[in-house]
Amino acid sequence: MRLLRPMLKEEWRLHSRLFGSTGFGAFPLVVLVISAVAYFGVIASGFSLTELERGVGYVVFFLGLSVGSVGFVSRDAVENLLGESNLLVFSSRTLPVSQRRSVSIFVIKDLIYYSFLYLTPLVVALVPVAYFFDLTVTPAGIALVWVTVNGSFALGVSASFFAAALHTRSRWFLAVVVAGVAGGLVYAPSEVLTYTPIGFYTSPSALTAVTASVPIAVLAVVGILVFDPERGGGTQTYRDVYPRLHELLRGEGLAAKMVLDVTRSSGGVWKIFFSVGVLFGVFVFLVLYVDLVSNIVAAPGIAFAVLLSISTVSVYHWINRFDRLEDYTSLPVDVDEVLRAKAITFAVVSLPVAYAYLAVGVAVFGFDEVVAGIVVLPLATAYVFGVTVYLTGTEPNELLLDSQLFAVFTTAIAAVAVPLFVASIAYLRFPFRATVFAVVLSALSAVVGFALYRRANSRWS
Amino acid sequence: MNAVETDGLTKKYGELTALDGLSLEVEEGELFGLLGPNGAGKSSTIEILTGQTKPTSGGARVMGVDPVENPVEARRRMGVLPEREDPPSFLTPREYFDFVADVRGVELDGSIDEWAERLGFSDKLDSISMDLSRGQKQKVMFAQAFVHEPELVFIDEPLTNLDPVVQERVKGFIVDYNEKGNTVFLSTHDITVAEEICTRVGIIQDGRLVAERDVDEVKSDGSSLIDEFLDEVEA
Repeated sequence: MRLLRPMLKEEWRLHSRLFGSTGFGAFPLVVLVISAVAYFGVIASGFSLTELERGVGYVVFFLGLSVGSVGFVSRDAVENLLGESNLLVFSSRTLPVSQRRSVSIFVIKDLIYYSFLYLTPLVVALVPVAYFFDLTVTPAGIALVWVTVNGSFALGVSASFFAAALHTRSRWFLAVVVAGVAGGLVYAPSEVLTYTPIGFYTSPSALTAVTASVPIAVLAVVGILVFDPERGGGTQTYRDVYPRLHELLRGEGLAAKMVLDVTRSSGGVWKIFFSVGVLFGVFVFLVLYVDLVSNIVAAPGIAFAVLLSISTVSVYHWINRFDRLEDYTSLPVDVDEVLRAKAITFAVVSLPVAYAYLAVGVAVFGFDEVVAGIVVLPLATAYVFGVTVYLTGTEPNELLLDSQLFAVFTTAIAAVAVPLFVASIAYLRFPFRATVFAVVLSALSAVVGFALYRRANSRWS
Repeated sequence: MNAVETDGLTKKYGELTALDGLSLEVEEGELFGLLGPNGAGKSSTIEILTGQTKPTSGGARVMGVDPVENPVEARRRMGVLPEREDPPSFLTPREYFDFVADVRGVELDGSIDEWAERLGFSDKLDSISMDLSRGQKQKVMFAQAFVHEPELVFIDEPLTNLDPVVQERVKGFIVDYNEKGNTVFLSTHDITVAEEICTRVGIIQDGRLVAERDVDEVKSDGSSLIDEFLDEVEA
């Protein structure tokens, strides 16, 4: 407790300072309202409450994966995110506390915070929706979902941290482990799920509670034991690629610098693949293994494009983690030029990764099923970029926990994403008309995105 | 008994050799200065001796404890002031000292206020650390290294960012602390400071100890530490 309590206090101060106590404190309420609206749409589409609850468990697992991936980037990300600052997790430099212990307590603190901010509101939002549709919910049932959701999140965090820890020892061994898990999910998904909180949810008992808990504990403990914080220490040397990059980007020096920042920071280009692939992974899983989803979204190309474009918000986060607008005040450049460089960097980094995932979609589902997404992807991505840069400038991390900003952002994205998802569903019966609708809507949204980007220049100057 | 011993300490980062067989001894009660140009290996030495990093080969002991095998116990017996370390940004200095006392298992009583008075940050004790100036953060970190009154303190560049008045106070405090029988291991490239307060210095270059000097002997020989230093590193 002597480490946990100050860390909890530190976390509250950090976010309430960034977003205000009220804004930060209201965040669970915003999550609750947005979740309830989304659940309403899901139930209205014909899903059962059980399917919805299980789906929340899957999504939360991937959220946990994303949160746990902080292990890949370690201290430099924290410093770049918060500026010149220090956190209690780094106390082992001066005090008699081991780095493993402080990191372990840091992760426990994160689990408590995410449970309060995201997971509990996600579960509570089920209640009003169930009442609206006259579905049966009991306190025991809600408690089961709460345990499942928190367990899924913990599994995601521990799996991700385990992968990060293994990454510090042997990338090849990590690749073998990931390939093994992926193979298990493809060839024996139900057996794999037995060892997750979803298995406990499906068949709650003391035995399934144990089989669901053991992997979480093993991954967390082994991850902490094998984590090598020294990995990557010392001086790294690189060949001078700036001139070539400068030439490739047609003289855009600022963008060349930003591309190098992102790709040479801890986690390299893989952190981009990981953060863009999380939502895509959830959706592919649902399409492949959840019958109702696969029946509704028979041609998932447009839906893939929308999800990938939304996922690129994480790329904008990465692009802004390694500099601040103030860093450029010593150079003869203005805000317009910095934002233009951000836009170019965003396009250069995010689109190839997003198209790589779309290519995976082609390999899994076939070209005809995915082709519409090829056109929609860059257009929808331009819209997402425009909204993000207009609302947050070069500080997109504010989206994470500023409740007002988050609500505006979600509404703006949903205004385009929801009709595109509907088009994806309608594609089954009206492929030509649905495609035309999706292309026209995404083209219009791209125009809006461009206009927002232009206005962002004056807004943030 | 030696407060600090290293034996053939080598540290490599990939192809870069930061320490190349460093062997040195610091006796209890010394105020030892480790001098060297940028990149000589001073910070790597302190990082190993304070259990932050492991050597590629060689061994070390501080106050009889192996900091590689038992870094937490080693840090329990010492105070550490790293060169670029700030107090936790979102805690006040008072809260941070409470935390330090808690982790170290010591009672601070009224010493927080005494430290704040001595170093001149009494009016900042309840401000969030993120809002402090660089010099004020440095003062807080300096105090945390001493609050538990350790017999051995590692200090990396203690005077950076401090104003001249506080620099004098800090130098005086370090000398007083050493004169009470405690050991101070100081890493710096400020030769003037080392000449002023250290009893003995070691000069490190390219990861190797190239010279050791008794400061009083240097002075009595009519030489200066800066000349000795330049002779060694430019040789």
